[in-house]
Amino acid sequence: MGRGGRLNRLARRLLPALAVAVLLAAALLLANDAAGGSHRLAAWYPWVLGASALALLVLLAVIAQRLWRLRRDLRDGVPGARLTRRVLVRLIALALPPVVVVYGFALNFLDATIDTWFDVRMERALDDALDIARVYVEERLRAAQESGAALARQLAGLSDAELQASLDSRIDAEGALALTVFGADQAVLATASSDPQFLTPALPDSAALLQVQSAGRYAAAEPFGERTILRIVLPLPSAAPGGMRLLQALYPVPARLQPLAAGVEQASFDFQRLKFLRESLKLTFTLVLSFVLLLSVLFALLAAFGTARRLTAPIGRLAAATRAVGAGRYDTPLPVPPNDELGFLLASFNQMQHELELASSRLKQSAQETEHQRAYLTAVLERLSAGVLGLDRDGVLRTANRAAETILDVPWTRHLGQPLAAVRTAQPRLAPLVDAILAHIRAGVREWREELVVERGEERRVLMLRGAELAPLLGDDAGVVAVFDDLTLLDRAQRDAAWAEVARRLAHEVKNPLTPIQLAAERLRRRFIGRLPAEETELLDRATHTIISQVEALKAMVNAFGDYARPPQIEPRPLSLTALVGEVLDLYENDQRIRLIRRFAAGETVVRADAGRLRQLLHNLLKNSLEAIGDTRQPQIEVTICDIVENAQNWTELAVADNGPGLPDGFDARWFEPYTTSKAKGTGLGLAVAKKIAEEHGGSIRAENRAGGGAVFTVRLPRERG
Amino acid sequence: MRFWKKCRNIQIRIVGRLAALLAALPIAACAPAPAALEVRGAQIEGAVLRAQIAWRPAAQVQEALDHGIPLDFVVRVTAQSAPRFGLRRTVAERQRHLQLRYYPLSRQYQWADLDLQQARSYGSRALALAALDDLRLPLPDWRAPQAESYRVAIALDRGALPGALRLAALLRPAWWLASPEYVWAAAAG
Repeated sequence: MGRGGRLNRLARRLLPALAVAVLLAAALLLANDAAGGSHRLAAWYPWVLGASALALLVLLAVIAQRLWRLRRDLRDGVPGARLTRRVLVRLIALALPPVVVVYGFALNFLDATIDTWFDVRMERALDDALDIARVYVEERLRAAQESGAALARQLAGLSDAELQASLDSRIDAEGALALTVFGADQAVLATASSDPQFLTPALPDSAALLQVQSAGRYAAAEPFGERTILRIVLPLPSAAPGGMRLLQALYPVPARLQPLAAGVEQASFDFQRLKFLRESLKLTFTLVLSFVLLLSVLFALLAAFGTARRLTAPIGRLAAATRAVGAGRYDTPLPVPPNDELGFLLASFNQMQHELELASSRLKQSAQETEHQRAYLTAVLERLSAGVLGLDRDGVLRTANRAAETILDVPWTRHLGQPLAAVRTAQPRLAPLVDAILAHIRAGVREWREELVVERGEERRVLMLRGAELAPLLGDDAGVVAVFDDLTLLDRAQRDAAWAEVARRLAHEVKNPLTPIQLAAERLRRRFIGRLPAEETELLDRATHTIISQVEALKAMVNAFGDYARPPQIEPRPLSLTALVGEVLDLYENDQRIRLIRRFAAGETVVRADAGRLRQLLHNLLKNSLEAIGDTRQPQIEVTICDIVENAQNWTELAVADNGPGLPDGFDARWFEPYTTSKAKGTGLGLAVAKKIAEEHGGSIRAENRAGGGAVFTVRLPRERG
Repeated sequence: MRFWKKCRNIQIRIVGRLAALLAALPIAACAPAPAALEVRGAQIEGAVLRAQIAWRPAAQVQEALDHGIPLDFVVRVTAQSAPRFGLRRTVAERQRHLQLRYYPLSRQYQWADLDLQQARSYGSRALALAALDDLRLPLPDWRAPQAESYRVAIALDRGALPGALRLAALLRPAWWLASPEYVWAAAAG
């Protein structure tokens, strides 16, 4: 924290305390001064009031700032802000009413107490006493006038020189304090005094002289220091022309009466002064009490803020730390206050946070391991060649691996979360599989195994389905897992192997006796034709001819079986498929039975293949088409070569299409097996050999009907990279 | 019933007083001081200040006077030299303290010179106020040969008021009695 920050913080702490101190001092000073008669601090009143107003403003500003900050914290949802507000309201609600009540009653009490000082009867008594004193003084004044008038008459004829002696002689007899004769210009002509205070004559003012002129005399009681004197001014009848002389006689109030009159005057005066000051006194005390009230209220507010902050700060920190823990952060240890319940709570929180951190760490590690296991299982499932379906106890699909999608060409992932029965509705061809699984689930069979066939387009998929309950491993409601293997290839391979064995045995067992049969038939012809009668010779000729031709036919069939059974011995090399197909088609170009159409892709298509085997494949397909065309009018065969890309792999497709009757009903993959034909003649090996040659080259063969009639056989071969 | 009535009276009184107090504060801060006390002319004759002062006391002040509150005034007279570098130097300064009070027994108003312990009584308040029309105040030991100008002002000494009245005097304009300074050239007398 910088120097400015420290100063700011210091000011924020000191200013409220200073303001409270100023208000307190002001209240004390004003209360003391109003009650007492001291004038020591009278000059500081404006400063006291100014300082009080400033202190009040400072306190209000500090409180306003804290209220504003609290409002901002409430708006921002700062932890502890709402609690602070609640504590603040409670503390103020507790502190304010007593203060206000005491303030009200104190004001009323002061009001009533000050009013009781002024008793009407006492005021009347004092007024009466003052009137009595006045009456007495007036009596004395009249007596003094008479005495003064008599003296004036005595002095009337005296010269200025005689006046002094006369006054000196008369002063004691008159009982006067001072006797003075002065002229119109206020020049003292003669004076005598019985009191040293009056050695210097205090002449009357112009107003008194005016009264003398108008009324012929002036008589008044006048205050003189602590006492009252009676002043009489009379004109002296003067013998001298133009010279006006005035006699001033000062008489005392009798000594016995003087203190009594002064006491009455003082008491009455004090009462009147106090009566006048009553409202000011009330105002002063109201101000003092208001300062005290403000001091109490503002101090209570400040204390409430401080208390609320001290109370809620740890709770606010606790709330913030709780939020952090809720958000998964455990790195906010709380400072623990010593030896109180809050300290125990915070220590417990820290302990809990530590344990949560450990548990979270373990959980995270466990989750990582689980995730790793899951990823491992997913990877294993994805790489399994068998299809795997996971279902819950209600038959809802929960998981499916990629092989399941590949084998059946079904997007299982789209059906995750759906009942298997719904999948059946969406994919009716999966009925054998779905029905089997659901039946086993319903039956509650722990493990099952069965073979079933599912149609996939025009293919038949032979599946080996195995299922098992997961309950023994994962609990009662874990569901079941169904695993199916595609046995189609295996089945086909087994069939192919079986046919190959048949062909091999046929070739071996049948071919061997054919040659002796043929030789024996030829020997019979040579020996007996021409030696036997014509009729028998003709019979022999027909019989041996039939034997020889049938043996030839059997040999051809056996050779064909031999070709099929022969293990693949191909010598693949890059060759131009366009050229090879062209050469083969040239052989059929002159055939008047058909019209050949060539549709080759532009450029040269190169494949890696055994030329002889590929020619045999093409011959087989062309022969198949020729045989299929039969009696079709305007027969034509269309041979197409095109390049395609599928699954990021380059392929070349060779298609032989005819406009014959098309594929027979129920044509499927089995028609590519040996001895499957719809024709009366033929060995049933043409398509089987073609399929075998395509597969030997890493390709495939498929058959489909054309839209305009006829069938098309398409051989797909991997294209050689150019 | 009586209790609630009393409470309501107390409440009204407190609110009224607080309102008066709150109203007085801004008035005290903002209201201009009325020129109730003014020095209309002044001369220095030797060692005597002669001043012509006009004072129209407010009713509240008159009431205070009649109820025995003595009013103390301070007369400040200053002699200043000719300006040098724009600044005037005070060459002589005196403060004189006067007091006006009422004596109920004799019904006399009295001006007292508190410094010289001299007093003069007047039979009425009007006469006492009229005495200010030609106020003569001796200035003992007054020497101001370098004086180029004189200044005189008179003000009520609020600090001398009774304690109970001081705060009210601060807040009520009727008690803000201070004349503007009267300035005259030394040559003029």
